Amino acid sequence: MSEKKMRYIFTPEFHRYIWLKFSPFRLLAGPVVPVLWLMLCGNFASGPAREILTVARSPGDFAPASGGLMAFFFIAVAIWGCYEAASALRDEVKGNTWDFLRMSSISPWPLVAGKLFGATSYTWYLGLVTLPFFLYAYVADHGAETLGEALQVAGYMVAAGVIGQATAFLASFIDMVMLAGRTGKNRVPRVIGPFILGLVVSSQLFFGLAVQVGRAMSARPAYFLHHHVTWYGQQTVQQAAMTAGMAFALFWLLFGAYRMARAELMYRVTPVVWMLFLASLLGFLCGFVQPRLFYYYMQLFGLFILSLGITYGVMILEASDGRKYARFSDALRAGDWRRVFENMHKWLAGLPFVLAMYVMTLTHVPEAGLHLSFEALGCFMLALLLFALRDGLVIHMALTGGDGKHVTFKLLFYYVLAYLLLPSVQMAASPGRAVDFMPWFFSLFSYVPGHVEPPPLLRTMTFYYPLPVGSFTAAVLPVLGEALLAAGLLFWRLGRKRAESGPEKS
Amino acid sequence: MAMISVEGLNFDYPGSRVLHDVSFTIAEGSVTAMVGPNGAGKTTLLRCIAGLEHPHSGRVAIGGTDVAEDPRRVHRMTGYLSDFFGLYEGLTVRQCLTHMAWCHNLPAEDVGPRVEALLAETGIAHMQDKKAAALSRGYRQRLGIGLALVHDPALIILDEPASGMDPEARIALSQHIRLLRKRGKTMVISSHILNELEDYCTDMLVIQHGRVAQHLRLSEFAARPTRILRIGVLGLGVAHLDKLMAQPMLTVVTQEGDFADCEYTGTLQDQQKMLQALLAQGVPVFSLSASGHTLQDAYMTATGAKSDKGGGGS
Repeated sequence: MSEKKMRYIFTPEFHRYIWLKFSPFRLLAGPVVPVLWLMLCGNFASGPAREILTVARSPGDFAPASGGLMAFFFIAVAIWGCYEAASALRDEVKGNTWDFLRMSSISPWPLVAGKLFGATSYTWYLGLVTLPFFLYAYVADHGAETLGEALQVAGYMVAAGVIGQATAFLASFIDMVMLAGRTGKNRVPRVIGPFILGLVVSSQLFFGLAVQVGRAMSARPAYFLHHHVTWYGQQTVQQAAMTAGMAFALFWLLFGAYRMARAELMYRVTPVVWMLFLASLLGFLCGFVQPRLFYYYMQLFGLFILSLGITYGVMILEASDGRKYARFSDALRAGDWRRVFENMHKWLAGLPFVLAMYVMTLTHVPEAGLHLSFEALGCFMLALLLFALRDGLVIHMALTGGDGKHVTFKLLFYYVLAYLLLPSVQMAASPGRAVDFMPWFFSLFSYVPGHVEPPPLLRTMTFYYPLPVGSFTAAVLPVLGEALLAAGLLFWRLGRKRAESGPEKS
Repeated sequence: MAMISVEGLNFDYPGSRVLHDVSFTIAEGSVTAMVGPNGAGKTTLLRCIAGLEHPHSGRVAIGGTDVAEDPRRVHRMTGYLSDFFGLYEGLTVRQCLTHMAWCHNLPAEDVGPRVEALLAETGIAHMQDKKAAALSRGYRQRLGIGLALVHDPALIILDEPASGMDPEARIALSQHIRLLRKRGKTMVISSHILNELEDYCTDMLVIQHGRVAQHLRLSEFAARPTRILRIGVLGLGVAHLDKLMAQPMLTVVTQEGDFADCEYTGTLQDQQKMLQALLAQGVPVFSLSASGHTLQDAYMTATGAKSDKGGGGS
């Protein structure tokens, strides 16, 4: 067909990848491996060739065939696919073609879908070509009645591939935006980190779900096929919950990439979707919390830690984008609330959710029967929050307005100094008072009535670590002071920067 | 009507401010040469105009549309070629243009004709089935310009479009820009090659240290009465300089060896009388040359830089 009259397939970006990734040779080469493997394991060959090529003499001998084809699918889709997804943006930015796309009229979704599914299109071709052979081998091995199960396994294999690739793609997108914020210029995202992350996610799903379900790899019945879970009072088979969880993850991975693309295409982006993500994540997970259990509050505590962890991670990632803070601060001074919201950092938008989980956890602490008193738990959680803020503020002070160089070194230096060197000096100054910390810490959360007093030395360590040592004065006050000091120093530094580079009339 | 309006633009890279309170307007249909030394902030300013960067403060409007308010609308009316642009090396020339036409949401029936037109306009029709990776520097530049023009934008921003081009390719680029100017396109072109910009530019915007050093219409500059005279005097010394400075309407700007660069506001008749007077006073004048009102003169006047007569702006 002539290109002059041709419309694109799916999206312009996807079509571009089809041009790049597919050739007659590559199309023909795709099915070669699965066909050869099945010939080797099955009885496709005839005559003398059968004696040489096939190893299967009975239906059960197809087990290696389906297992081998699963492995081939995993190599093509999970390993190669995640690499392609992780490097899609790198190739674009490194090749200096990214600005052409940003200046074009392409919308965020066609861009994301085209890049994600286009960059991985050939790996999917290999994977999807393998699936019919896999289904054949699976059914030949286990009988015609297992076709439904085989389709289910194939579905999980595909889901594992898509989610892994989407994870790698989103991670590289985040890396690109973070680098642009940090240096102002260098946007080339790294590949190895996003690739490994995508591969880990894909492997977990692939081996955790697809392989467990498939009898090809395991004779044992998969645990989650028969186990039930309760979600907001509704009992359901765990498999359905896992499928819903995967759908939830995939939706947010794709939507996350879509939002990143919006920002890169210079659309206005506010943290509303980030807040919706946090709300839906916590809402989804809260559904699994079992109110009848004594450790109900501990499950909520886990969600508090999750929300705090996400907010903390985002705060560190956003620390070096000082220009956004400057715009935020200017908008705040001008009372331009729309611009304030547009330039609001995600960690600030995430704080209300952390506080909500804080309140929710404390309101569900049982009145009696805990090792840890209500006050100690409340102060411990507050200390966790303040330590996160302290770290974030100090790291902001170290990175904001800098040249974007040696960021990893600065981060490592801070963590080693704050969490290792300084407390070690304190410990060393207190000889003969070593604390068997871990057994004490975990005993706090076990169900033994009566409160346990913390070892004396720990009371002095609250400057360095968040510890459940009891009172507000002991657990919270030191870190509150540190956080306020860090905030003061950060504002002073930002003020100085502003004075140095403030608007000048030409 | 102003096609580009920039007001109080400030832009920061982490740790440093590169644009300081930049304000100017560019008229519709004009071709503006953006010149200035390396690191002056030209590329950053062009990227802010193109809506590719978020400025710290200030406002940029293209055709009345605020870039910060509606960058996508601005992108639809702007074609931008970066100084370090890249091509999809694995695609053919035709595929590159077709892909970009699709990205700009051109109607399917318009894609083919538009690609054909661009292939002809940029002079790369005979290379259409060659892979981008196989193109020479000049042809890559032509394809890059084709990609920036695929949606027929009203505003065209070219950052160093002639860098690395051979003379033939430069002439072709010059002709292409003149053609676009005739079509009424507004263009902003950043370049170091001033004598080429002179062929097609109507305005000059000089950027220095992140500020607008000067913004002038070249026609007004050319029409002004002041001319630059280079007077050669054998053994040019203080006594000679005093006699030169005593001449009416003549201002000595610089001295270099036996030559004095002067600004002269008189007519040609006045100039002839002045030469006679100098010779009568015993000043051993051996040459007198008047340079035209070139872009280079304008640039030198704006920046206060010394001309090296070599053609380079900086």
